[in-house]
Amino acid sequence: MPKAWYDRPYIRQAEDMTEAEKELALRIVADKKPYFMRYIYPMMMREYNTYIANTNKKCLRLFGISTKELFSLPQDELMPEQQEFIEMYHAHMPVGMSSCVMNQICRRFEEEFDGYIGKYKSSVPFDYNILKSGVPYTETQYNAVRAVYRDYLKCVDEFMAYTRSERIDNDEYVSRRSVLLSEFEANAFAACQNRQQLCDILVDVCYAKETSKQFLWDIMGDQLIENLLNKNGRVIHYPAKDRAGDIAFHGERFTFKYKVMEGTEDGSVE
Amino acid sequence: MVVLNERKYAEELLASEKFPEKPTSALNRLVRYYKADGNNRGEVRKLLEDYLQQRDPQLNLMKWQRTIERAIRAQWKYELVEIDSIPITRSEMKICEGIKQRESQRLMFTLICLAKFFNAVNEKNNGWVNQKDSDIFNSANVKLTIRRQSITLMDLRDLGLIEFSNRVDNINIRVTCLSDPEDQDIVMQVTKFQDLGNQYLAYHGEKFLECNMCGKLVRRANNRQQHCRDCTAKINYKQKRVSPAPKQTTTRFSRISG
Repeated sequence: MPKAWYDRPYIRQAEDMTEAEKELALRIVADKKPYFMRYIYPMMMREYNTYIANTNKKCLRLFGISTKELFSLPQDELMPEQQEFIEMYHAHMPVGMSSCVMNQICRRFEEEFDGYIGKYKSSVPFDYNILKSGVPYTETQYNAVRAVYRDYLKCVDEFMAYTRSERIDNDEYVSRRSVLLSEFEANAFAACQNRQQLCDILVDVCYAKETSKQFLWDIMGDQLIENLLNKNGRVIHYPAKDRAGDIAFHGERFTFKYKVMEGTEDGSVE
Repeated sequence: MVVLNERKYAEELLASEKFPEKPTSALNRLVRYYKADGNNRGEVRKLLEDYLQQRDPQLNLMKWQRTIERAIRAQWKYELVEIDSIPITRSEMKICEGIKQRESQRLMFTLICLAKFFNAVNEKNNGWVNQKDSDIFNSANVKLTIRRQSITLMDLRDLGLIEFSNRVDNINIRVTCLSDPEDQDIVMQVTKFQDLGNQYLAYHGEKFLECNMCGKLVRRANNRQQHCRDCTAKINYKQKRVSPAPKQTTTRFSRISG
């Protein structure tokens, strides 16, 4: 490919081109990939994101405002340094920002999906009481289990500090974590022997504040599922692949089926 | 990670039997160390493989070949840095003390230390600090949002203490308030480049201690404290679960009547 097609400095320094040819070449030079191609080339995405972050920081350092705020200022209110910044911002942009068809389509998709996950976040907080069996417990039991839980969190912190400094392999990590969990499971049952009460106490301890729920699910996972089943007539619904199904997902068709789950003597789910 | 004396750092790495916490950084420094000792690329490669293998006999060397090659390729053009300390003069300290906000004082002190270090490594550096913002602010022990970080730097620029690069996407900083190299009125010698912000506070009389295990400078919580929080957690875990101390038993003695 001739260098004049993609190298802007080369055109400027070319000795075998007339001024008119140079002017035309500079107008049509393809020295940057278009904006939408950052979704195709990961390196371009990184370069673009770094450029946006750095120019934003630079704008904050120079003028005390972000680039978004700078671009929203009216043209006649811009200081000469701000105008120069905007010109250089566009000149050094690593991607082509022209309004070609593909760039317009790309921006349309971006507008549509911008903040998509946030829009569908539920405004109703999760009611964690559905995880409980409703068996009453005393304040003494609650305090005893909460002390075990806090001790467990402290031990996990110490364990993570230890694993960060020592080179332990995955098997040893899993083994040590399992021993830690078993120990605290025994301590929790020593504080409250009734499984359903212990489950309800741990749900209250873990879900009332924004704290780790891993301990609850590790030792009481079965009981939580049992509580949910009891509140739903012991019926579960699940999607099963079905060519004639009415639900389409990821190129496959599914139908919702249901099953009645039998309980066992120890309360585990079959 | 800035290391003042890379020879000393490399010798400590070689003396330690533990696998390094930051293997790539360790390999980078070892490349420069071995090169300074007159080894060629092939010899350096072999030495690095031996270094890793000795510290982890079960290590799969094939997985580390790319990292070793990259380290050799990237570090071969650099010389070993051997600086004992960075001197801070009275006028530089006064500049930091003259800034109103405490966070900005720590930040300015850190920038001065970094600029002087890079000037010592490269005499053409001219006061530039080409490090990531996160590294600078971590060294300064200053925790701020990205917006607040940039505003703080803008305030230092307005005081005439620093300036920025001309290019719109270049966020390097140039310190413009460094003392004359001939200025001998030195008030502090910086020998470590971790927790520079805390070092500044310790110099000004605040209570800090150096962790017995890792050397990190942390704020002293009580008079008995000997370690930082991370090392305390590691020690506690080891004592309780890895090698617990034997439980002491008491023996009852019956009084002999007579």
